[in-house]
Amino acid sequence: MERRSTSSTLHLMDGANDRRRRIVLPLQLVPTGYSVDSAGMSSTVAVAPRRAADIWRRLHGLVCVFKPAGCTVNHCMRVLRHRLAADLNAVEEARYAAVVDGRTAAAGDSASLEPPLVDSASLEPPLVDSASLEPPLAGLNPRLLTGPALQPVDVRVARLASLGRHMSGPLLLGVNSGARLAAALRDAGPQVRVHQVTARLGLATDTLLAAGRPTERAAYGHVTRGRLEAVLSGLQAAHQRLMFEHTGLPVNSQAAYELASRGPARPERGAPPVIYGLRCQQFAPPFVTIEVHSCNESSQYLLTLVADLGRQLRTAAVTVRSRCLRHGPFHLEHALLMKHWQLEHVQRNMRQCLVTAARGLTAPLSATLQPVQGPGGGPQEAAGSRAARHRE
Amino acid sequence: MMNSARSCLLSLVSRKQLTRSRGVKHWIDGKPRRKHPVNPEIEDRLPVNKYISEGTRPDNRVYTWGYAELGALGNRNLLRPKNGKKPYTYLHRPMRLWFAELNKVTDVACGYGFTVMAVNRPDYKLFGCGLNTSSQIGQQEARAGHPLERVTSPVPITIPVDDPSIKVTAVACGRSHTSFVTSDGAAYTLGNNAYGQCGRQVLEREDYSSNATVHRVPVDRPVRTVTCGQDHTMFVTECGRVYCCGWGADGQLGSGAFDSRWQALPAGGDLEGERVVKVACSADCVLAVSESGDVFGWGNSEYAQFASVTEEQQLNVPRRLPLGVGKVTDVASAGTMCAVLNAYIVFADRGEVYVWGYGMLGKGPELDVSKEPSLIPPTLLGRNDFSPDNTPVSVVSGLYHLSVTTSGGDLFTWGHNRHGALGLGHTEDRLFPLRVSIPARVTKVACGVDHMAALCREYI
Repeated sequence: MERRSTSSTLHLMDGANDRRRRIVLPLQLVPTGYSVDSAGMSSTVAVAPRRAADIWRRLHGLVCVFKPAGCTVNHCMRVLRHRLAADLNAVEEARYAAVVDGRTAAAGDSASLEPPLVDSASLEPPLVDSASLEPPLAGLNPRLLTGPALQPVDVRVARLASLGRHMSGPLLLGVNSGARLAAALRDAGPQVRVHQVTARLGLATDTLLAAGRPTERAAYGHVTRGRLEAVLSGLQAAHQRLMFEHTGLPVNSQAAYELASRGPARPERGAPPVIYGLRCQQFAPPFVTIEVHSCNESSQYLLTLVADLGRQLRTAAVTVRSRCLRHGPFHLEHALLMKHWQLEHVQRNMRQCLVTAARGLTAPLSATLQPVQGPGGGPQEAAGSRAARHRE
Repeated sequence: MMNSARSCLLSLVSRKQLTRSRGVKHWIDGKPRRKHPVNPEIEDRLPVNKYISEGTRPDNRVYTWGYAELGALGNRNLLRPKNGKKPYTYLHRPMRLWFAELNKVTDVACGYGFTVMAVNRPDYKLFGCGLNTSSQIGQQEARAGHPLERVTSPVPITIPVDDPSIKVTAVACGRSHTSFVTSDGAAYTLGNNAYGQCGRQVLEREDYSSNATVHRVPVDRPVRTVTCGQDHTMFVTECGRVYCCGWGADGQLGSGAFDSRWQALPAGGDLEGERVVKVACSADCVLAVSESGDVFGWGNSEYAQFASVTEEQQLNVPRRLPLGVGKVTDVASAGTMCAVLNAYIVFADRGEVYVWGYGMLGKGPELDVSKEPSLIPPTLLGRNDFSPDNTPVSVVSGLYHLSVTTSGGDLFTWGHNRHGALGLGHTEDRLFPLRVSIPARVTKVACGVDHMAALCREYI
């Protein structure tokens, strides 16, 4: 497969830790035949029918999809694979139909019929050469004999982040060569995630989720907003202390002191989960909504956090809903809904993610963390809040 | 039918499932994914457990940590553990004191190897534990003529106060003596009196090991609070005067001389006409703060604690220190370090801690000596973008370390970590403030040489 140089190497410098991290981003993902205007929308300039080969050649990158609650990440990857394969096959069908229609309309001539299958390296050449067939079969569409060109298994989708089955939120997936970004994203540093967790007081279940089998009921009338916020602030302070131990610097060094005096420090890669911020967003007993800013956490960790919170409040608690609002620089606005997992939307999403990643991940990651305002329910945002939201 | 019976049995047995977490495979108790939704009636059949009621109020707790062998932590199980375990030499993390669950502890003070607690009870008002070689926690004898040198659990100290309505309002401990103030303005001392630190005449060859003397110090004005240095005592009266007695070779009596004295007399110098609110001293360098926010100092200045007013190594007359940090609300003086806390003004966003002196000042390894007050970054003391309202409210010092409590109930410690006295979970020194993990809101802290005690309040 012919290959232009489509990537360039950008160096990340983390000033505080003084470590050099390399991240490779494919910079040229805009396929020919498309122009990108300032709004990031694409429009075709050529009137010739699109070739699936061209699209396929450029279908590499990072895509940010919205994983609905109740879906596993594997399921989402499978759905994406099937949809992309189906769309690419449809593109090729349309092109073939246009070519055939054009030729039929012009009372065409079989000699000018191009081989219908694309010439990408990943696609098999036609098993059957229509020119060598007997007359009854020669007029048939060879695709009816060999099947669609692209199989879902040919589309390589890799996960670049994880989300629990019961959680919803932006999920980063790498398409084809985008899978190579996994190592680069890991090296860029652990990203802070913001979750909005709704808990139900007074109930304990076996799976720590509200849909599980109830194991205990407890009174929760004594829980007031003030008591909840007191427990949350204590929990937050206890966790913030852990960040000094997970920076990877010797604690008694001048570098550790300078890092700590700037603010909450980002942990190093592979450190245990740390929670930076816990805020009560909504208090409507028995339901309580909490915003959690954390790093290196897992879905099970957040379930355990809610259960422990229930214990601290002298009652029981289970998680009703857990939404991830942002993953590093990727917000819910960047996430593609399942109904939009089609070729054109995925391509546009890839371009947007490239811009987001270039802005948020290639600059040296700030060693200190700042809170971000969640959508709705938080305090009123002042002017410049968009800039505040993009801070990391 | 046999198949369905077998499958029922299999579903009862919990199966282990192989899972992968962070790249590591391990077996977990597999909960098979539920095929059918849960019966909603199960929840209704469960009883409702009530752990606390709406009228329950948060309780007070006491946490202690540090050197345990002398019994200063008040926990007998550390020194005589059950199940044949080894006794603890030290405890490097806070541990809740059972004594405080049964008694209302209103004040606590840590001396050199012993702890004294003021308790709100009609029968006994003062309890102590730890080292008792100089009767600093009263006369404690299991058998007549055999005084206990070490007391591992808090025991009552017999004090000459009969009125059950009088409470002990303030306690202070020195190297081997204790002093306390009652609600009627009287000040008492007990323990070692070798230098007159108990405010009574020094008797030659007095045996302090089993001495029941609790002396009421004759101060002609009602006493509000008391502070003990290493071998001297300072009483602060209601009108703001400071009466000192005890060892004075470093000028810590503020009398203008370097003599020790047993009579409690007021300190002069720049304190004339000032209303002193608090006096702080762990060894022999004394800092006092007045109602108007001025800081005064006298005593030892070998580590440049008073470099702002004198080049001498001792200052025997109180002098106002021009620190330039605004109105000061709290002071602390360790062996070689000093710290002040200035007033919190909402719009000016103060409430800052300044340190100076020599040693582990709390600003990293590069700053180990400072003649001028140096600000500790507020982010190190719990104020950051996630908790912007967390400000320091008090500074307390031990002999080798400093601690700060904040409005959010956090406790930060730093300095030399003798026997885990910092409470951070290890015995390494820390050169900048780190938060001590206590699952309660810290209201008051007392620091000794190698142990600490914290009065706390539950969250809920």
